[in-house]
Amino acid sequence: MNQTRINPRRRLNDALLGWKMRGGVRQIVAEIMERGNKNVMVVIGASIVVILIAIAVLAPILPIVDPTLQNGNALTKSPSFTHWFGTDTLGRDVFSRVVWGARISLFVGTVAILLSLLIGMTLGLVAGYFGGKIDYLISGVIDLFWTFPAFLLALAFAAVLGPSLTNVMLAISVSYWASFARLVRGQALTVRERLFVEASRALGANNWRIMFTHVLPNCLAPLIVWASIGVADAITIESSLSFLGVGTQPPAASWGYMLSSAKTFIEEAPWIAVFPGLAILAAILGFNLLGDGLRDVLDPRLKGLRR
Amino acid sequence: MTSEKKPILEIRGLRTQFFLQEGTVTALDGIDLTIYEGESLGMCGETGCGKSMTAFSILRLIPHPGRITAGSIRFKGIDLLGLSPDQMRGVRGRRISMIFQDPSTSLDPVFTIGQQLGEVISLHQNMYDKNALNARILNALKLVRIAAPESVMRQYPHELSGGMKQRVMIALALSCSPELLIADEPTTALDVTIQAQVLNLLKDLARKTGSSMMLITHNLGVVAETCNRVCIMYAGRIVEEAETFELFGKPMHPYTRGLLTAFPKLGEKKEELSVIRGTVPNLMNSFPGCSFVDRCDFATDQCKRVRPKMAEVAPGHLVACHLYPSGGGKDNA
Amino acid sequence: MADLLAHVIRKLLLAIPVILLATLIVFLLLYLTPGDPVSALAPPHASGEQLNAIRQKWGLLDPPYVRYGRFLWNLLHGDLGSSIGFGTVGLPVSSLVSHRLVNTLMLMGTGLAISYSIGIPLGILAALRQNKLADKSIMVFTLVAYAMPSFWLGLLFLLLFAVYLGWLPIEGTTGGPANIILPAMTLGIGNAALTTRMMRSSMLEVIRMDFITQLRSRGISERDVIFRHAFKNAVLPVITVIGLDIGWFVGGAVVVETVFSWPGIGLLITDAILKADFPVVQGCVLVLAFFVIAGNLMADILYAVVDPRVRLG
Repeated sequence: MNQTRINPRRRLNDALLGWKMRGGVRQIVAEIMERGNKNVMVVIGASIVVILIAIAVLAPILPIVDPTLQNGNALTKSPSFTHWFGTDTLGRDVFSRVVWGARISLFVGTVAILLSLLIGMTLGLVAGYFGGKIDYLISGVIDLFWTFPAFLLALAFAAVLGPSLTNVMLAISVSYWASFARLVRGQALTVRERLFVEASRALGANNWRIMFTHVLPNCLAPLIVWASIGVADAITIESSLSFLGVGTQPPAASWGYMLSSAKTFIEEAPWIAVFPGLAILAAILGFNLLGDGLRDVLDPRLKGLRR
Repeated sequence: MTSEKKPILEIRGLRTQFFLQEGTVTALDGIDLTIYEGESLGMCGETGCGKSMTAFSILRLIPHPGRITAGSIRFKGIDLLGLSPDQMRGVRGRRISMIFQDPSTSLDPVFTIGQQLGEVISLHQNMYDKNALNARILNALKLVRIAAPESVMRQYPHELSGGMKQRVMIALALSCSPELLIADEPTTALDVTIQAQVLNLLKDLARKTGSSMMLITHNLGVVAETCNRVCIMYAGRIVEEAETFELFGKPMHPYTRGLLTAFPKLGEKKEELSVIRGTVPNLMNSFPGCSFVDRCDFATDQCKRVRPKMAEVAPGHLVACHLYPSGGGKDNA
Repeated sequence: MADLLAHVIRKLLLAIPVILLATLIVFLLLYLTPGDPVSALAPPHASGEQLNAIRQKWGLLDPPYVRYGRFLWNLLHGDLGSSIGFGTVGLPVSSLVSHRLVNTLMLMGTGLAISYSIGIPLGILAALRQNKLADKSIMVFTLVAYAMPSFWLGLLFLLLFAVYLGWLPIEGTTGGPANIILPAMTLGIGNAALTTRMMRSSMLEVIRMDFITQLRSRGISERDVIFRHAFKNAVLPVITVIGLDIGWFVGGAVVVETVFSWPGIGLLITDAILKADFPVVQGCVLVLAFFVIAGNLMADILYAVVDPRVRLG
């Protein structure tokens, strides 16, 4: 009975790895590459997203007019060849404002969701890891935030914090984290159960790190799907807040803000109401399609988890 | 014993196929069948052999993407396949009706029993007077031996037990005195104790109303109890057909024999249950020969190439097997 | 029946801590607000002493739990504080809110009606013509309608109907029927997309059930099978979701009222935010939160009414 000392942590790790893992970054990317091409929604959604990101990133070097330049000679001109989307009442070119608006909307959307993801993942992991009363408490909070419409929460937070770009991002991230938290918590609880089963045989391993390395790869697929849809929701919320006047403020040319001034001048310059809104629609549609399409590609079982 | 009776249903060469993306499934591959007046015919076979599909084909209720692709179905001289949808609807429920297998999913959960019975009766009998209708509904419920029919009338399906729901189904099917009643596994979803009651009820009612019955089941015991004649089906084809006693006493087709020996008998001591080796074939492939060839202990080269035809090997007893070429009867091991 | 009652009571009791939590969050939000509301109340160039006196009068110097307690106490008496906004200083928030509440309710109600009268028939049509042109175009419509920001849709409607066609008025203050059409439609169409999807999938599920084939085998006409039996079964889960829709509508109302200047709570809260009138914001948030919670509760209860199995949970 000559048994060498087996590193308990290694042993636990091996035991958990034996358990079939559907995740892993490489696997997911491979699946997307292989099946994504055939899915209409993914193709259209991804194209729109890519174009938007390209526009946003390349805005400074594109050969377009300065969006803040007020051209006194071209006040309130309807769309023409010189000004594709026309100009507003201060003589600013609407097309370039829309292009530059992409930067803001995309920036706010993605950062807000990333923050949201961080908050959600942390809370989800904590709830799953500790279980018991802590889990009960956190789950209660998750439920509360989850059933409440994110827009209203964000509105309340933005009202309190005051209108600004950063505040909008904060407001959205504080309102939207619940769906991510649920996802991660569910996965963490499953891993925890397995840990208990195996831990009776292993000895005092560093559970925290093992949880981390096993929970996240399994959540990856649904997290990507929800994140994509989340960006769409975040853009909706940001533009709504900016429209109301409690979001991004001038001179930042956010699409939502453009539409709020469009309302005042709707009779004189109706085109200002059309184009920024079209851009918002495209962005939301793109991310929604991408998310829905990825869901079909990565796991058809996820259908129906919306809302 | 059968020659004086008139046939009410004659099926010839019926073929029903499902056109799927992956291929075409031939659920029924050339069925020939006759049901006579006042008799009860059992359709027996494993799950998936096409028993239910025969019933659906007769009523032309085959789900999409299925279709009848060949053959004829004549009901009392009427060509059913040539009827318009409206005419067919006139036949359903009124002249031919059907009882489904699982009573708990076969009744509309949001309407009361009385409402559902009333709907069928008023439709087929053109009866709209409330009082007369209610009287008929109560009658129908009493006919199937439901106690307290007044309160059952007002109840919803989920409030009834399985046995009672099946009785309601029978009431629905018999409410307009159809000439042919098709019962698809009527007792499979029920408790054993209730099964006998329901079967007896079916038998009595069929006899009372003079309806013919087509009883679909995989349970040979039920067949023995209830049917005059039996058809054995395998992989979409009928392989043997005879009167009940004759079939049980002298089974001819290897499949029938396998079925009968697999059925454990009371008082018999067995170490292991005997099985028919192999599995049901994939109905997407077509078989030029006999469909049972891969599982048959007596298969010959001819069986692989030539499809056996139904031949009468004894009065009223037909088999489709190369062991019994038409005109002779070979008694085999 | 008894189990249904027990379930309802249980849900009601569970809702109470949720409401309390909501009040706590609302209170905390405003308690932590940077900025000093006093400056709006005090005359200009007031001295530090005067400011402190005002703070004392308004109870702003008391410890937080006292203020929360007072807040709850006032709440139970229907007192939501007084406005500090320009033009409405001193007016009780509760009266401001109640005046507007009716308008918002009207808008939400009409919006709901529109949403369901569009969504349910479209959903049925899509299900009956699954994968054909009608279904595919309806699905595309829902996709676009869902992605469309409600305020943009509202602006487009304004453009089309008020500016170009001149059929309907631009600003809705008279409260007449013509004024409610555009905002209600804007609200309704967004939610119609969701309703359509739900109805479609519900219908598709029901059509495949055994009892539908059974009904056909009894000779019942296809029209009755679909519109009497299948429809009644399929619409139930869609109806139960009304409560959850209310949450969506509340958020939508805030935006839509601003677009059309519809004098409801949404417009009130937006103005109050811009004027930094925090008591009004607080009151509005509470009312809106209450609606959302009530809506969720209603959905829970309706669901239990429809499906007896849920009552045990």
